[in-house]
Amino acid sequence: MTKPDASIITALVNEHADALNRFFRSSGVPYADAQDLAQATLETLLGKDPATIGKPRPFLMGIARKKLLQFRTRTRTSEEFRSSQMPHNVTSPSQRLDRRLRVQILFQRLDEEERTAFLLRCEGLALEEIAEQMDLSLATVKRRLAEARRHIEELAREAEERDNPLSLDDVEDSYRRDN
Amino acid sequence: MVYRGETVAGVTLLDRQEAVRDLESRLRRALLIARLGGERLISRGGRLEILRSLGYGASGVVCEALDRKLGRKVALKLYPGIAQDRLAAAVRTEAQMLAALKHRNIVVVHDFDAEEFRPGEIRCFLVVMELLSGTTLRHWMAEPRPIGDIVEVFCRAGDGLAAAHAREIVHRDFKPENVMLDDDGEPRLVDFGLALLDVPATGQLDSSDPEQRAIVGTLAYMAPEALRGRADARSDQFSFAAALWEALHGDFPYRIDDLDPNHRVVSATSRSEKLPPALVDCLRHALAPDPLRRFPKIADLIAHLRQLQGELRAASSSASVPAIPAAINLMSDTNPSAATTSAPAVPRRSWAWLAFPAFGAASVAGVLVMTGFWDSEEEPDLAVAADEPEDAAPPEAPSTPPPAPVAAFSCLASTVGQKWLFHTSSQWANERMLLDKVGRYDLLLSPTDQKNCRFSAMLRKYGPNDRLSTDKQDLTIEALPPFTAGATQEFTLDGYIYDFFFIFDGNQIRGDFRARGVSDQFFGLLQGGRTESDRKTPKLDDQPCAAQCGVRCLGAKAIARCREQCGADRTARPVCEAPDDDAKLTLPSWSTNSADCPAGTDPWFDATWVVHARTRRGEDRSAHRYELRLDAETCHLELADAQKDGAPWPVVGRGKITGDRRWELELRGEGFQHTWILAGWDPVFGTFKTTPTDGTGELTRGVLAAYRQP
Repeated sequence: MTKPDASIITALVNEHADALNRFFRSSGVPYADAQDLAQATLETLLGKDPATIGKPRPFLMGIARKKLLQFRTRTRTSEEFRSSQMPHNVTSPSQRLDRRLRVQILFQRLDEEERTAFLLRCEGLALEEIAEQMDLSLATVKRRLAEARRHIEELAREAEERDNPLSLDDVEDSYRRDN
Repeated sequence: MVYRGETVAGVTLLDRQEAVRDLESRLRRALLIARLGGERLISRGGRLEILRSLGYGASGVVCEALDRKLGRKVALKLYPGIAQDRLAAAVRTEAQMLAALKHRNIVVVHDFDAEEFRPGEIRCFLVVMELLSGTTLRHWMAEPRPIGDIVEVFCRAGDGLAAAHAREIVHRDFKPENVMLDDDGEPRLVDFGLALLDVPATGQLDSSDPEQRAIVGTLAYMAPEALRGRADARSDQFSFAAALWEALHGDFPYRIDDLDPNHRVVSATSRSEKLPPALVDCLRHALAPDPLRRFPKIADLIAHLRQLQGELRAASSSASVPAIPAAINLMSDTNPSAATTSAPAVPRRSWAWLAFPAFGAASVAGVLVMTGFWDSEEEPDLAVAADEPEDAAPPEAPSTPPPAPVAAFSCLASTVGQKWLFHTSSQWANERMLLDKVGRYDLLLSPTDQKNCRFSAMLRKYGPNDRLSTDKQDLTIEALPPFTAGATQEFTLDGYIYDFFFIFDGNQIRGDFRARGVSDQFFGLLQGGRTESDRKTPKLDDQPCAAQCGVRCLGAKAIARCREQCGADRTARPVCEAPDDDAKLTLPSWSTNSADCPAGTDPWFDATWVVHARTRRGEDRSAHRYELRLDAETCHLELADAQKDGAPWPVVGRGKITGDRRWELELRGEGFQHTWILAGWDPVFGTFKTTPTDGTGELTRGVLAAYRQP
């Protein structure tokens, strides 16, 4: 593969690296692996013919999602997360002060599909784009999003931080800004 | 870790955090660009190549790098916002002192400098350190650990602090995230004294201003004087003690979101009841709000802790502490092998504190305090009513008397005794509040028909606020070898029906009871004697075989058969058969699905279990005996082998412990799926449901009693 133009690489990274990083991190991927997955995602994108790509962001997030699934298969991380059944007090006391951490913990407690749908929505993808990139019907995507939102609201209101609850807006804001 | 937006001593911490995040973002992108383009990210002089970003904390970004000159991998910590021309001499000097510090509990610092990496022009101040490949103390604390291990690891980290203090270097940010455990399990302090470099990104570094230099650290661990901007070596001691307190209790001794230095005072916590008091006192000393009232040096605190360990190891303390979940330390995953939490166990000395069963036994005192049910042993005996016989015999020697010789049984009152004082302890309950509950009772006997050994028995129960409940019943006492005598009777107290079994053994009374209320059900033991000091909280394994039968077997017939088998052998072990045909069991209604994996659970479940099942379906009352060999791993159970009624049972089984003495097993095979839900660690009772896998819907149900084979 011929080395792509340095300026294209720089432009791609500057535009998308943060989004990829927060998507993988919020999906429960450890820090170092998230960097590797981001690299793999961008490499795949660079290997495609630009003419076949419509809007880059949705396409990129679709690749990212596939990389995430491959990662899951390799590491069975999702099974570990599901079966570890995170208790409510999963954070240490000193960590509970941090909004970002609280939101990340909250994300881990969602189902994979509803979380991915929610994150892609936070990344600004339209419902049809989410449906295409996740290979789901539009109706299913809507359902997943509704489930995600309901689930998040329930979790965010839990006993642990009753006097300092998170709203859906807080969660979206944290995803975009805190990462 | 900083509290977003807080202003401490005039500096907005938001700026600092922003600067670090900005650096991390730029670095991450520079690395990506370099890799995608087949380039390397190298320092201006060419010496260091950044390989991977490992994470970031409140003060800087940590990377894995290659020292190209020496050809070895190192760790870099990059601090934003400081350019070479602003580096004050004082900071350089202290950094040099740090590099000269060599101690096995401190990470080795090789070098430091202001640097610039290209491509990307990442400018920062960096420290070159030894690359450690273990995990942080935070991750280590996520697993349940014996108290002894925790104290030992902290002591070694404390040795590092002491060594630095000896050279007048203050850490300023001691916390579990800043202690790495290397491959040998040795704790290594990181970020040492480098808090000096955490200056406000927006401001100039003016080392002559103590205010500017001192507002660093992690707020949750900071001493009151540190919150005021005046930290020194004794603030490290405070942070150390706060971290150790957190590790042992699961929480801090003060409210960490309250940044008022005057409020950073240790409050009483009920959890301290479970820990050796001397240990708690030691920590309280180190957490004194006034630095002058703490230990003079941290080395003194460490020496004290080590001495306590030696003493306590000799005693029979059997408590361990719940794990502090570290789960996802998202900000500073400084270990390259991120997802693992299993650091090597502490290699030197194995602590015998974690005895089995570790759960339940030692926590009685704590539960009692919380339920308000405990009457202190020093309370005077309440005056008896005038018409009750007084005990004329002089008080006996206290504590554990030698086993009484088998006295010739006689119905004369002086042989059996007229006044018995005992404690009860519930061993199994279907209501959380009733478990581990200790009750205080008097049993007063007056003979009514000596020829037939009949007595009038008054059972008196002490409740909270000096409330007494009493019930009077007739009691027939019989010989009970190898003991003096025994008796059974039902009493009704506070709306519960207690089916008591008393064992009179010389001057001691033992036994068991089964209590039922409207929907409650609990089983327990009793232990006591003639005097106040004979009242003891009974422990299951210390009880006579016959008493254990009453708690471990389900149903009067099963209990009776078990007691027969105990016979006259004092060392006999109780053996329970299948629960009675009409055995009734109501399981606890667990409201929360707690998923904490309690300490000591895995080794307990990693064993062979004999499970008796009694079917209750229509007229079917068949019984079966299962023998299951279980493997346990962080509260997940796998079936290694199974037998049913003596023959191999071809099923596949998985299960899990879902906290608070609840566990489940799913067994599949021979066209059926069996779901077993069990309550308790020892004894264990539960229910089962069997459904055919082809969905024809005929359900079989029943009760279970499970026994762990030693």
